[in-house]
Amino acid sequence: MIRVIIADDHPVVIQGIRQILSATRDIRLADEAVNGPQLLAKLSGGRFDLVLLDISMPGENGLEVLKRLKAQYPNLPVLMLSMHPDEEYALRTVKAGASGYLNKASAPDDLISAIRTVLRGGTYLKEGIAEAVAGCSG
Amino acid sequence: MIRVIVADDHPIVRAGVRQILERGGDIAVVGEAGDGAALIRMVSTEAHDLVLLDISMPGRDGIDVLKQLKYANPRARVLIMSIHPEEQFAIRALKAGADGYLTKESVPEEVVNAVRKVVRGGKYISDRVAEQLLHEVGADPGTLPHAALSDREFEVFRQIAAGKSLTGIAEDLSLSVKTVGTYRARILAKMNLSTNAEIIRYAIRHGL
Repeated sequence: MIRVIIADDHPVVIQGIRQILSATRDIRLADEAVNGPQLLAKLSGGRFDLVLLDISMPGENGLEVLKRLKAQYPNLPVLMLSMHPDEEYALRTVKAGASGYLNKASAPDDLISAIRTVLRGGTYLKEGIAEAVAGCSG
Repeated sequence: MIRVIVADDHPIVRAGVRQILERGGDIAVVGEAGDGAALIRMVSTEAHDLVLLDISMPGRDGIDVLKQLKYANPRARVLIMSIHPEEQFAIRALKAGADGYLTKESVPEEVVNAVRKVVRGGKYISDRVAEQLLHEVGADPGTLPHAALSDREFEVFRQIAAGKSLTGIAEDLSLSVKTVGTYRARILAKMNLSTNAEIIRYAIRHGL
């Protein structure tokens, strides 16, 4: 069973993710946090295969949390969740170590695909964003 | 059974709202719409007791959609759910006829209670919005609007007036951009302004 932990300050988003993941046979939302410090505390006490991380949380924002998380757990894949379709955000998160960037407007199937892609060691970005990132890195 | 239509352009949010509402046992989500046009079509074909409406969907502005819903059926019960922490939206929505206003930061119990209350004919606003409404009602007309700002809000106000971006202000004050955005929303609401340009104009006029 793939164990996912989410950090998001919107309970409706957490519930939505929980419901979408529960429709799969092998992915479960194992735990949840409402901010960065809570996420980091939970990571130290449990085993997780992937982190879903909201980019805009109160207090320490998602990008800052991502940097701290990757410093402590460099091999733990992180998929960023965002309300912003903006390429700029995606680029910043990938540079900071995220394995993917998913807009919350994405379809439920995209969420599942993104998780599977990232767990296989890939990077998940929507087409337009991938091109922008490739353009910047090339 | 309370029948709800959920209108939000984020499928993840729709899934979450559905799960939260249906867990109570007395509420059923009878339809989901991803934009205003789909919602307008749905309300005429799907029997329902309440619409839970995201204020910021692509295409038509949520306030416009709300007005059309209320125009077509003044007795329609509409509860706004917004991602925006900006309380300013709540006032706009309530003035446009909304029966309640929730933010997506609301806890599940709050969402369920709001739906039940609005369907019974009541109005629902969060404590934060209530405070803001009281502030508007109780504002002393003899006092200049910026006097109502807290110290931190005034600091953000002055930086916006100086033409700084929210990101720049966030860096200067060691705050997240979101927090600075919340301060900005409070400033606009307290001072009854709507844009940064108005903040700048106000600051120049009052030598701030």
